[in-house]
Amino acid sequence: MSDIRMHLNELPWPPSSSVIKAAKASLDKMNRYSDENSHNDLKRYLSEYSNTSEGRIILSPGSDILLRDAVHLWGYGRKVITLCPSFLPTVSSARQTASELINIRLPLPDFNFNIDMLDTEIEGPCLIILDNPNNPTGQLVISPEHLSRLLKKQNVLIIMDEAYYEFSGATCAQLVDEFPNLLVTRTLDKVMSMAGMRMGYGIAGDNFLKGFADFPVYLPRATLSACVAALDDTEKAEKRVRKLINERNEMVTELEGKGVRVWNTHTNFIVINSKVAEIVNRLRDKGILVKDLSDQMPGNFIRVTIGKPKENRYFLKRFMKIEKGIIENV
Amino acid sequence: MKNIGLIVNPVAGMGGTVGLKGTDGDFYFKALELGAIPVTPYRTHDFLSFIEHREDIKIFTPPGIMGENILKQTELKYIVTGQIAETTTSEDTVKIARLLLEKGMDLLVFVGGDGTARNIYDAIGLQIPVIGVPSGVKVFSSVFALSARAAGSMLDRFVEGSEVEEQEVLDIDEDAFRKNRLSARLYGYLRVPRIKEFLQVGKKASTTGSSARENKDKVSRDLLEQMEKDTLYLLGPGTTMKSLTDRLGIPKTLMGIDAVVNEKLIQADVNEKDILELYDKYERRKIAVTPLGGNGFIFGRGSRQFTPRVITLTGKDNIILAGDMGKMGTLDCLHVDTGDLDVDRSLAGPAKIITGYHEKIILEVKY
Repeated sequence: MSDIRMHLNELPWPPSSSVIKAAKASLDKMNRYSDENSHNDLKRYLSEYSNTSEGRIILSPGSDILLRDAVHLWGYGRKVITLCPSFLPTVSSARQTASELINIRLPLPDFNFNIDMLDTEIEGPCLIILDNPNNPTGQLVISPEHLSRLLKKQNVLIIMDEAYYEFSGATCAQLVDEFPNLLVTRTLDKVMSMAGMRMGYGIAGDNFLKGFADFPVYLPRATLSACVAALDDTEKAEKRVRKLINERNEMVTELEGKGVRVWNTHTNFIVINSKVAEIVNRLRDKGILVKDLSDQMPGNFIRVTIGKPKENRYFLKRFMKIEKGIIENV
Repeated sequence: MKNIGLIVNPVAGMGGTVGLKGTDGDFYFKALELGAIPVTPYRTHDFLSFIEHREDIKIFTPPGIMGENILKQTELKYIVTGQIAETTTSEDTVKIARLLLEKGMDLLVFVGGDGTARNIYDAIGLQIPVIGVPSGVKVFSSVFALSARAAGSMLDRFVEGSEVEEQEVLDIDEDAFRKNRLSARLYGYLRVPRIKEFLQVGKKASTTGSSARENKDKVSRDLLEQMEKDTLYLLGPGTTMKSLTDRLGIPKTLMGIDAVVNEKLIQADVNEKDILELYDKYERRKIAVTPLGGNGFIFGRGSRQFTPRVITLTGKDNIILAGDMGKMGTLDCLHVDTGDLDVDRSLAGPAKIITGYHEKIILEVKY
């Protein structure tokens, strides 16, 4: 039996047959680069899906790549302010380019973001990167009202990472028309069950649009075709998201009922503070892969991506057995 | 009504301000010679003053300096029990703890450090729950409350009916500690009320792998860049500060505080008295210190030479915090427990810690 993947925040179900068919059909022309029309088609679909104008859409082979490019382009020589914990590849990019990197801790017990800490740090040219909901805590960190206040400050650029937008329903994308200094990044990897296709996109304010205009992106044909097919029928994706949220809530209820310290989130994962120091390895021994957060948070925190119902039941059974074993041995 | 035992180790913590790193054995007399004054009466008094369920508890305590003298000054109900030697030792702690166990206490509170915790473990093991009120030089075990105030709140929660859990008692080798090594081994477990927000996490030793060394190197590069001329720097204990002195090419007292001016070591392993004398000479002073890994204490654990007086004279803005991201990145917040509530309060709020070259993390300081 192959390992149960609960460590990368993928969706456990494959995409619909129409998406797979569209991707396969594009393979005949893999000797040719994809053309501009295909990209424009996808932008049109994304603008409708995101309720934003086509001209504000930026395409990228994964939102992590878009974030990396944005940080490299706009973080250079600026003070970069971000959260701790946060999406680590973005923090690494900032470490390479920023004149100074400030990490603001999201503290226990609720991982609440103290926006005053951010406010006092804004001085001189700044790039603020906020993942909303935050990865790995899964909590929403800022409202559009608070964000608007920050965006009005002088010499401030803000990147909002909304990789889990479909699960949270929260977005700041409506602010990009008003604020040229805002970039919202998203992905279709998760919601459309297409992690293997790598599809990220940005909804960019004017300042960011100008910068990205110098770096045209050409995506693989299969990715373009699959994304268009997926966006042509979003109902199936919406159903998958609802199903996953139900599963997530059930998991949390069950774990809470057993006295486990668990945090529900606005994403497709949950966060657990285990009593077992070696919990990640112990689960791996049982064929379950989860994300180890012990290097970012105090205690034995793990991030667990919600899987198929059967996988979730297996996880619960194994996790509780390990956890209970420790309690009984104390 | 809950029966609460209270044992005060009258000599715990006395070595701290004079830089002795402990008062085990003959070091108590050395501490006295150096002018150390008792610490535990104040800590005990603080602890008692924060108890709210005063009518719901009856305190049993040994005579004189091991409890009675402090309770006399309060309006709490108490009963004096047992006898103690004229000059108290760890044997008195063990003897009284056993007696209180026989008398059927619901909870035993002790005021002291890791050595006292070991004595309590020897006497009662897992038989009744305890709360440790931190007052020693070495307070690294997980059986201690975050502060005297937190211990008072813990007792209240216990009276209201909290669960208990086992926590570690550490055995810190005091001789090794004096010789610049933190050698800790698990000594045993005590049961404590399960109230995470008031209980300190045991200290985590520094990692010494190559990536940890690289991280410390980045931190020390940043520190060096911001060092100012003709300014007295008091470098706290630990390997992060050693990384800075390595860059400067000067020695470092790993478990003590060293004084540096213009990149030169001017005095090693200073105590409070030394620091105050140096402060008479230098108007520009800064403290550079690494929060403890695991529990995030800045002041109040380990380096007690940074007394409330020294901290006040230095000023909050002249305290530099630095530690590698591997350790600081796993802290939820920082703690201070200097023994002076006003000083603790003045240090509270957001604090920046240097975690790399031009990189910082902001954590909340709590007291």
